[in-house]
Amino acid sequence: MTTDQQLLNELQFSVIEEPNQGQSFSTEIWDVDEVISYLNDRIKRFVSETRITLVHETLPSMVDQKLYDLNTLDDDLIDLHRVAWLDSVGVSYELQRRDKMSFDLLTQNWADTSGIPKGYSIVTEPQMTIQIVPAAADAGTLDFLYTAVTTLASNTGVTIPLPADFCPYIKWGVLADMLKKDGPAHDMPRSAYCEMRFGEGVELAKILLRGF
Amino acid sequence: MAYQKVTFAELKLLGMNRLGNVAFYTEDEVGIYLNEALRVWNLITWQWHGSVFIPTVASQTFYDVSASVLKTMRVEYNNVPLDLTSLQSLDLGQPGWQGTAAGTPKRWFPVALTQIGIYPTDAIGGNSLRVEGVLTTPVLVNESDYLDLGQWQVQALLDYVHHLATFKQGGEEFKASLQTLKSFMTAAGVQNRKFAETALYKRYMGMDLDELLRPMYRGGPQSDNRSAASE
Repeated sequence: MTTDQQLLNELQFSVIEEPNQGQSFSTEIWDVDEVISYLNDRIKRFVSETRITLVHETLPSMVDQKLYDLNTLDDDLIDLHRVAWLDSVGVSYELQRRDKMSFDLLTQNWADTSGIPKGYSIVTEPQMTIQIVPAAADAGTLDFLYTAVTTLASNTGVTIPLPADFCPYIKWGVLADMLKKDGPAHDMPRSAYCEMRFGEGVELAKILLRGF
Repeated sequence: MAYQKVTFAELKLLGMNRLGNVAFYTEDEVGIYLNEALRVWNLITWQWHGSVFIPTVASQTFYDVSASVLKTMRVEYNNVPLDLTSLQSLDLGQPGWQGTAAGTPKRWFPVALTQIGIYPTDAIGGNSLRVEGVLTTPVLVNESDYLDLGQWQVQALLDYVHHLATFKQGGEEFKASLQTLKSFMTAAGVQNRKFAETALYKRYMGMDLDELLRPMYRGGPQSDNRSAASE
């Protein structure tokens, strides 16, 4: 496990700041909130690009209800990986991710039909909502596997929500952002190098997920 | 290849020596660089293997594997190996699989790096799943913490430490140290030949640029047409 303080300490060594677990940046080139924001952005980006960790959660599905609010899921959702509908006895039906046009082509009167859900689409209005098609004729459960960042980093000793071995690559991502900043620290060659190392982490995670 | 017990204190001393013992670096800093070197080494070579046991829960499909396993490669249920499948195969090949009656698990499937699923679910719970795979990198904290490493591996780690240390200097020193990063990657490619086949490795070695500048000739439709026309 790596904590945000350990990671910020490593960052401070790399940019010749006083290593104090991210409590302050004495050169005043960066401020603490800014670096923490870079850190959280990079964690989200890493999780989003690699799908390295998934969250499993369920929502009850109601008869004839089409729209489900994803904000009710526990964690800050980045993307859906798998959605299934389980009937009242637990038999599962994987829902295909589709758009409304494909529903028009494949299912007549899908908007007014109910039955066993076969697909879902992401609805943009209201935001963070999915529509299941057709709406369930019986009560059941929606079963989600999704990418999410479960905890936000700070400088208070929070564990980075990633396998510890990938934390050095988050550091490289943050350094890339820090060195891009206009001002005395602006250093595009080193920033590009850091970006390359962050990309290396993403590739290694993908290799680990699928195997060599 | 011969391996030897190397303590954290010894590794840090070797690292400091490699950096010329200048006041620009502290021992703590070198310790951090060493731990990063070990992590990158393990991610590339999958050096540390082992297993952990997790108890089953009645009717539970998805399990979070212990934080000490980085990639699951094999799963046993009460000492009986489970067959590997995938979530997609189950969804496509056995619709409704999540509703199958609980019984004795026969298959396992990866969900994410640290999550797996079993099928069918365990009926009783309290049984044992032995999860085997690549372990997370051991972190060196105390001076007496040690690892079994070959001399060439120690050299590769020191190359990486040297490269990391020059990052904060920037400029020509850092640019020159890219060669030591390349040496580290070469050693990792020797340890894991499969890594040496990846695009990532080829990029480090400059082999992708070589292919770009001197593309291999491959007979395509155009060459077929030419030969057909000449006949």
